[in-house]
Amino acid sequence: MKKNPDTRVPFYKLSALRQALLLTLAFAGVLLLASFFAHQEFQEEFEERIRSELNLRFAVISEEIDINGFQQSAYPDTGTAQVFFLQSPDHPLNSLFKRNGFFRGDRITHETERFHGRQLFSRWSRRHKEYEDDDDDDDEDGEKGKPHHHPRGPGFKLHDDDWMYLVRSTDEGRLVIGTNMGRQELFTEILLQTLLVTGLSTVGISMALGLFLGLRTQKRINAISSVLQRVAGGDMTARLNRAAGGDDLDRLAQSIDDTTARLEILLHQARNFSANIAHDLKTPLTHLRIRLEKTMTRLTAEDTGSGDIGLALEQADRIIAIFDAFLRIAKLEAGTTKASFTPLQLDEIAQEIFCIYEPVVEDSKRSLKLEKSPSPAIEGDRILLIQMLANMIENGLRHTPQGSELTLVASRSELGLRDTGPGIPAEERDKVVQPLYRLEKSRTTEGSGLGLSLIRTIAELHGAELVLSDNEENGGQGLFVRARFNQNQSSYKNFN
Amino acid sequence: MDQACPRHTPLNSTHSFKALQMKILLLEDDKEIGTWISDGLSQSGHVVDWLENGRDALVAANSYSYDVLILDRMTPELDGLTVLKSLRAAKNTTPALFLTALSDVDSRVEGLHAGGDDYLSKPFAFSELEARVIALGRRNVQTMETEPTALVAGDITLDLLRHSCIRQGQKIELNPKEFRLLESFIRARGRVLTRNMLLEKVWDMNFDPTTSVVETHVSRLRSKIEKPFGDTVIKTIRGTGYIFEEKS
Repeated sequence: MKKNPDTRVPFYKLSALRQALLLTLAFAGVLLLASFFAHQEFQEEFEERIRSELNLRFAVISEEIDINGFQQSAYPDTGTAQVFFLQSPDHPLNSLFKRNGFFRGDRITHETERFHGRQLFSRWSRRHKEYEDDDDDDDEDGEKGKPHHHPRGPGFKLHDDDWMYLVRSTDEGRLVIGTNMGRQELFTEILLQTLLVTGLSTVGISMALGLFLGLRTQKRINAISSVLQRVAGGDMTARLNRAAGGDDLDRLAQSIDDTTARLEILLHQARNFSANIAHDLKTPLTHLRIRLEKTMTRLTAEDTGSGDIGLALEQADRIIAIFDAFLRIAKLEAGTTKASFTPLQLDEIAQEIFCIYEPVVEDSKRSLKLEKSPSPAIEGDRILLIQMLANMIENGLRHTPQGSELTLVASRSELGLRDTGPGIPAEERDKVVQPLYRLEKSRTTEGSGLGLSLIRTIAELHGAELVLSDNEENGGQGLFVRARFNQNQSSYKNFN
Repeated sequence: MDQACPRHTPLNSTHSFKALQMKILLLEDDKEIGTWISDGLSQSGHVVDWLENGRDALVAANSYSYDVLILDRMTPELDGLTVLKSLRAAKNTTPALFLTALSDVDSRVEGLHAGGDDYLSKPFAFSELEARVIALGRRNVQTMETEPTALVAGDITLDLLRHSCIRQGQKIELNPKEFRLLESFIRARGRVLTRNMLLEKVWDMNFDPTTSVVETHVSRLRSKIEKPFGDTVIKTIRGTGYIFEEKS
């Protein structure tokens, strides 16, 4: 029975997997980029809002101060908002906020005020830093700050909060309004989490979906390729049977089916054609033979000479033999003859044919030897291989002079015959395997001119290559014709 | 090599084997071939019912008892293959021989699968057909017997289990193919075995070699079983084949 060559592709080579991976990577990339920009945009927008909120509160508070004067108790530190009013130039925060504007940094505490004085803030810094109680007056020094280097004196760690302060002068002093930016971080975190969750699920889903769709497509493609393989192997009845009008793959399947159907018809026609020729020609040939045989019988009975009729009958039989050989090759080549493959030992077949032909060759005043080495079983059609070897030997007998030596060779992967005859010129070797081609000098010998091409056809049916070469064992004199079998035998089954 | 021109020799008149009177059904739509076969077989003493279409042949085969069926593969109404398939389905075991213009191995296998017992491709020599038909008729009789462990033909004994051959008390060494050849001859004693029948039976060759494979091997066999005894048990029928005649 026919076994399909293994069509399975390793998992990592599946184009479905590759497509899904590629898509997922692309998705993930886009998502990362989108997250980055979204984050940026979000932060800017958030800061903008905080600033306008601080502006608004400044307007409200400064108005209250105008009316009621500043009471610190009216503006307690809520943990999310702070208000200071720097009325006297001695206020420690004055050294901190030397200018009006927005500042960003750590939360101001009493300690800050106490130790203040110095640059504690790094403007617009997003990072929380450890500051030291430094005498340095320089505004920018904080930027360089020496983190992890603890101060002399009671250093302190500022809160891990991120604050924004608005410092603006009023008529009576400078108002500092701060607000906790912690919410921004929370929102950022939520945003990032959301992005992460949607991102991961998108990646997962696109991977799974891509793989699912890809594998489904792959399955359909596999179905198509297995049908094509069956067709290539000669099974013209293989069909995909997809509904018409589906997607592109369905349409491809449909056209493959159409093509195969067409091929089947053509093949059937060709087959019928040769069967018809066989029938049409064989009927008159049969009639001819019957007439000749009847005449022959009558002449024999009457005991008059039957020489010419005998020769005519002989010629008729030769025509029939050539015709049969031709049809046989045609049918084998068309793949319409189903060879029955069974496990065979090449050396055993050679032994068998040797036993059949050894006396025949000996009677013809030539010698036949057998050179065999144990061979593993190959799949083959016994009757056809015997016919192939028989043809090799009969060719050898026909084209070698008496006294020649024929050697039947069977090895692991070869089946062939060496002779010590005149050989075939290298440039003629391709042609001699064509049907009906004969070397000029062999025109005079008997034979159908089909021997080598039948040998080739049978060899090819077994996935073997027919090789013609000089007989090197005999110093290059003579012909070595052999079928070289494919050790792993991948193609023979195609014909089965 | 013998002049290879087969000719029809009325077998039962020239050879002294007990002629089998057989009732034969012939399905053949070609008038010329039909007449030729039917006349030839009648001359040999058989009764031939010749029908030209498959349906009539099926009816006839179901109504009467025949010894052998000769069926052409391509016939009107019902082809020979279908006729035989129907007969075999109805447990009709009459031996059948297919005639066909399709000579490839395929149709041969197809015919044998359908229940055919032998197969002959056109054109053929009449003697080939007759030898095969007689062999088939014989087979019908022989299937009644149980398979023997030894074959005895006159002074020759073949031990089928030990693959040994003894003639007049003398052991004769035969190689496996020679043994099989002699076995075929003895089983068919008194009947003609054609070259092609031997090729198929003994060497599994379903094609006609252009060389004298059969002649060579028969002559080797003869040199072993005849020469030391100075007589002839295997007779050559020129252009057709051989016949084994037992000596007591």
